[in-house]
Amino acid sequence: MLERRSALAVAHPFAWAALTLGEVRGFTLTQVAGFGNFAADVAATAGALPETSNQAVESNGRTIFRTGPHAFWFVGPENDDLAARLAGKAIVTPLSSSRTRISIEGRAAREVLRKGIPIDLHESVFTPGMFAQTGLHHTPVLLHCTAEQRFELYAMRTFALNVWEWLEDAALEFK
Amino acid sequence: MRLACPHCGPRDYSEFRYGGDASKQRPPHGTTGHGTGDLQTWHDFVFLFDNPKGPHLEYWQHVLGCRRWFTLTRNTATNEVGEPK
Repeated sequence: MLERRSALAVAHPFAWAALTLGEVRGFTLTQVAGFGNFAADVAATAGALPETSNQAVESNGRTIFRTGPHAFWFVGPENDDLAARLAGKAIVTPLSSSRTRISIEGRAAREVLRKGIPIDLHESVFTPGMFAQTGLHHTPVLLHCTAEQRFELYAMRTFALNVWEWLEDAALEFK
Repeated sequence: MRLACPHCGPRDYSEFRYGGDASKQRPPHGTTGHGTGDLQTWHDFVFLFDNPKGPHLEYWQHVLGCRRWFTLTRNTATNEVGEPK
């Protein structure tokens, strides 16, 4: 059995008073896209799909992001068999190994993210449940606000350590 | 400069990639497939560009976001942008 190795295996998670940086492991990320009326078939299997491009939906134990006009990301538990159940109904791409999920929590979290992400992250605008596909340190990331002071960043695996080091550096003033 | 992605909404220009003049008409291929046709026409399409001052119809891609391609009109003198399509 092959063992999954984190791209952040050499990184050091930390928990300060103002900021906690860590990695969320053990999830299944499935990209689902299609043509025509594929969304109806997908919804019949996976539950109601989000209508908007900035609000995630929690459904059947999964978080669903609308990542494009005809594309969705499903984040489920590690043993999620959604990809197999949607086979033949849509274009299904397993992405679990391609993204690293970084968690940022604490009262300094927004301030740290604001240093590198050019969208409005004010707590009255970017509220829990919202997400944005944007860029951080020249790499594409999906930023998900899971609570008022907690965020998850989905970074491409090969850039994950780079993003992590950028976050560490941006966080130093809050140590 | 901020551009409005048709899917994600208004974002910083740094999230996008410029894709060239969207008003150019792609010339037809010749009857024997790709890489054939009138070479002078293809040369001009690939290599020659106008450099207008004022409104310019352009391709852009939201490369750090949803990766969608779209067109918009941008004033090259003022960077005033129109509605994306």
